[in-house]
Amino acid sequence: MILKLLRRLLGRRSRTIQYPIEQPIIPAEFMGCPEADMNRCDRCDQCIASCPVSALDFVDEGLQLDLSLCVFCGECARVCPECIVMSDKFELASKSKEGLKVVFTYG
Amino acid sequence: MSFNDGLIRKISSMAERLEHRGELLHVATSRDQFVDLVDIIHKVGGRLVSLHATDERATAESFMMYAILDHDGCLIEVVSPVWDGVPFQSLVPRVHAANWYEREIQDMFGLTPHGHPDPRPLVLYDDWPQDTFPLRKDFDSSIDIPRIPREYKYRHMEGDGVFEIPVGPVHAGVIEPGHFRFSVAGEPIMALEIRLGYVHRGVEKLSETMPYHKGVILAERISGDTSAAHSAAYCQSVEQLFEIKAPERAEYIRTIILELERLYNHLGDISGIALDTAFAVPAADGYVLRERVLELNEWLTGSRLLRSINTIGGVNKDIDRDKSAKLLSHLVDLRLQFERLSSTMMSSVSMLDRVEGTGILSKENARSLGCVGPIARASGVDIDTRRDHPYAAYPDMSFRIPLQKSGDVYARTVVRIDEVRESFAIIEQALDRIPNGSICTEFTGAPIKTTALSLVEASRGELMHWMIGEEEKPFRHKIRDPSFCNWLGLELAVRGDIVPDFPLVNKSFSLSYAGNDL
Ligand code: SF4
Ligand code: SF4
Repeated sequence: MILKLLRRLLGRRSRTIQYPIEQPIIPAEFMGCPEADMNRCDRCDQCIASCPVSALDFVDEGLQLDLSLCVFCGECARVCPECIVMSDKFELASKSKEGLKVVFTYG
Repeated sequence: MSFNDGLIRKISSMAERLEHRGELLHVATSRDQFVDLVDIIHKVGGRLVSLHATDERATAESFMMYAILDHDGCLIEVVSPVWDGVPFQSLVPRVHAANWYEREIQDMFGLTPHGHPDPRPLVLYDDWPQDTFPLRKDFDSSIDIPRIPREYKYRHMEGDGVFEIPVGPVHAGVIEPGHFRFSVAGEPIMALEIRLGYVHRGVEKLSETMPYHKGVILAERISGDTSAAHSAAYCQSVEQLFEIKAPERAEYIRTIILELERLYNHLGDISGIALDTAFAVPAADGYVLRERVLELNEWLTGSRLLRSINTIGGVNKDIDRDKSAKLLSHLVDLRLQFERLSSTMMSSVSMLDRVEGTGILSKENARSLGCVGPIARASGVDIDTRRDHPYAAYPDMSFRIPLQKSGDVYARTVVRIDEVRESFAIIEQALDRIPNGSICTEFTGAPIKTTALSLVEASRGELMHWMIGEEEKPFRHKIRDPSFCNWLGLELAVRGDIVPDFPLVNKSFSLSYAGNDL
């Protein structure tokens, strides 16, 4: 019994990684920060209308995403797969609230 | 299932209008007959699924009160008008399960139940003004609500050597906030009073302002670990309103994710029970399994908590052949590990000693309070929405519904362990039989004029979304989380137990605060 248990325990690999030295493996389906390619955008504002928390809005330079509001639901990427993808970016922290506003500029 | 003829005759003699709508029997009646009618159905074994009101003053010149009952696999919706300023006769003396529902109606609509044994506020904050009723249509949610200090009156037990232990002002751990007040004489608990409402966010009101496709995202966030079930229930009711049907493949995918949700919740609960008996080894093993299911969820769908999958008319993510094969192989391994975990737990004498006979909820009490889910099944009440009102791909699945009789922590643990096994089997069957085809139909058309009702068996039990639709968004959206039915069961179950057993009993009930408070 004890021996069996020991063998089991010794056979166990570590289940954690040395983040941030090691990077985690991000699954392909992961829904991280939405990213818009504004070169293809025709300013139809479908994405803005679809966002349940009004995190998206047009600004002069392009499309602004407010990460303090975004719930990473993927609705915007669903209505506009041509321009928007849910990227695998997850390190989104910022020291200021302004820093959480990401602008995707027109090309 | 067909309705019992005698009952139908009795109902129709009291009804103003009777209408069969698919699985649902809609009965309109007068205010005077409402209580008697609900009572008749209740007496022959009808279970109260929900009791709620709507503000239809604009069209019907009154509020409406809806009681949903489940009688022998048939759903009956009884509706009658209620007028502002005229107290309505309370159902509670005859149907105990109506207790919290009527208090909620009082808070939200300002309709007073006459003859309610305990008409205190339920969900609104203590300092919410007494003449402001959020679910009335003329309530303006954009204005700031003044705070008017008011005290909530707790029940008091008096006597020699009786002490009160308040847990709070608001007990808030990493779990959710609530207030628990024990009356004890020595170690044993004589009574427990639970005060909730601290996470009331006005979800139902909010939902009335959300277009349907955004409502799904809201529904996913009603109770964090029930997102798949809530969104499935929401989508199903909107699909009913717009008379669209999700493709079969989508129904299978829904079934799979609903079972994955049950899996990770049950694994968490089982480990939690082990942890609260201070049995750390299986607890840690169980949490590892739960984490593996969460990682599996993320790999499969992109979301650990299975969000953004259900959508109106189907699902957003497909499960292709590769994924299906990999999921199957993971399940085989998970199953093995789980069997090892359950045998470690269930063969430990010290663990069994702690869980057997602790926190007993009798079958009578579970019935009369209208408890649902694993809590009810552990007390011998044989209900499971997946069998009684099948949805998604459940009609094609074969599975057992585990039942226990003793109603204690042990029974609730065993029911969950057995349900985990069934969930593994259901996922395997679904993956095996999943048909080809599209995963989403187009969401178009106009809503039907009647009500839509959808029931889903969440991991905590039967979950209801009920809706009256408008073109763009719901006119009224009633959500009834399983926890709403089970909290009062906890008050009864801990009586006579010692205070240190409370965390264990509470864990075995595994209730959602957010789902209850809405
Ligand atoms: S990103 Fe897409 S949806 Fe948004 S404005 Fe541009 S084209 Fe329209
Ligand atoms: S992911 Fe959802 S919340 Fe975030 S910007 Fe897109 S639609 Fe809005």
